[in-house]
Amino acid sequence: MTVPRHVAVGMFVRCLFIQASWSYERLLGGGFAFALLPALRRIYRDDPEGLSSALKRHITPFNAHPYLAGLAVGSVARLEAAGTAPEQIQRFKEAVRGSLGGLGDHLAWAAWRPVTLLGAIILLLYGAPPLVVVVAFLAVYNAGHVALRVWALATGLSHGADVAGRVRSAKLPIQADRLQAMGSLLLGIVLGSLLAGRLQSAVLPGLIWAFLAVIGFALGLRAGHTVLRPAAGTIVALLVLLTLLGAL
Amino acid sequence: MVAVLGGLLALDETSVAQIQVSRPIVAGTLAGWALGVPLLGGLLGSLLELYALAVVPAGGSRFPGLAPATVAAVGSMALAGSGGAGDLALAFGLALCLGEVDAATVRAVRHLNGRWIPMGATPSPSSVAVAHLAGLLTDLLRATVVTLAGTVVGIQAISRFGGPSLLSEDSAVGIILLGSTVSLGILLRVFGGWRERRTIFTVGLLVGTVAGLVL
Repeated sequence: MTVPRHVAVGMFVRCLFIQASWSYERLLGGGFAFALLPALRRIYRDDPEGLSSALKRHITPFNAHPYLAGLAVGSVARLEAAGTAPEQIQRFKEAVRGSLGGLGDHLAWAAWRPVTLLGAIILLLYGAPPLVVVVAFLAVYNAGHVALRVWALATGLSHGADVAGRVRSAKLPIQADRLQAMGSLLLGIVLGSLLAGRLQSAVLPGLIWAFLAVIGFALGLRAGHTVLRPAAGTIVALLVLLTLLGAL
Repeated sequence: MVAVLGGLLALDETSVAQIQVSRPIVAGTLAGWALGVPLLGGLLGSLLELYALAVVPAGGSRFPGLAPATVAAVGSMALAGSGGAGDLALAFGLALCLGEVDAATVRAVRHLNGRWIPMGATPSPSSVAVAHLAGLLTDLLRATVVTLAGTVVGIQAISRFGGPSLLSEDSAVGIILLGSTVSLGILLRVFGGWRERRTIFTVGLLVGTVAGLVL
């Protein structure tokens, strides 16, 4: 049995909400069962006990990047439709959960999103109207985002447990690396533009702040995410101090 | 209206679709547009975006939720009728604090989500759908309350401590720039680090500096 097109569309729409019941106990597990439900209803349409049993098996802890979770949802739907043994399906889920998380984080959160955002910030820095920039950002970002979601679900539905080869041939880590190289160029442009704005003021406070900004950049580069919250705390403390001094 | 906008945009952070309308640059611009201050919303949103760029929600990391924070910051400035550089810095600081409050409430909702269907229970199809809907609505309510509370506090803070004499423009922009450049440093590390990206980054830095000085 294959999954009909209208059922696949229902699964795709549900995959958009896959994190709505995210919990520390099940992670994506609740959303996984929710997204898989249209296929399970079809497969077990004459077997209510089988449906309950399948739901119980699929509402267990599971995690993946939300954009790539469709790959696992589609694969599991195909495996369930083929009558694959529950133990084998569980082993498949355990095998893909870590890689789908890491791959999606690398490609979407650490490459595609910052690259498109840096592009949007450059447009803003050079005078493009904010609303136009936002619309352009959302259009470009979501062209990639939706394509990735569609590809993930379609690949899962068509290849079942044999998705590893398809994922490898898509060379997603290489695409992410190329995007990050482009992002490094855009990041340099943003930083250069910000510093130029400070240097242009050509008065001492502007130069001091530009110097501090370079120190801040070096600190972030050296120490990574551990300094993000302390940096935010320092900014808030500085603002509170200056506010209180101003109020006196 | 501000609170509902913050609540709706925050759904995009985790619960719905992740089409990135929750990013500060988008949330700020939309809030500014809705409140009749599009340039202010775009400016505050993009400044917060520079800070948020380094936030990569990978694995189990905890990160500030900036959609309600951005909407509340823009709403506070618009409703308090302010627009000076000092007020902008104050709203920026408020948003950073509110981002942490938002993150704490997200953790509470995630604990609550685990209780809709107890572990080990045999769920019916309708109970799975209801639990999912409950998670969605709880997230909406949570973010709406955070935005509302943040806006009320923000209006009070700006009305009480804001004003043209609070901070010079240089200091206000400098403080915000400092936070942004720390974030940009972290992002270059995410992109592969100095050794791997130094050439292409330096090319970009030169292009940006020249463009910034000339244009």
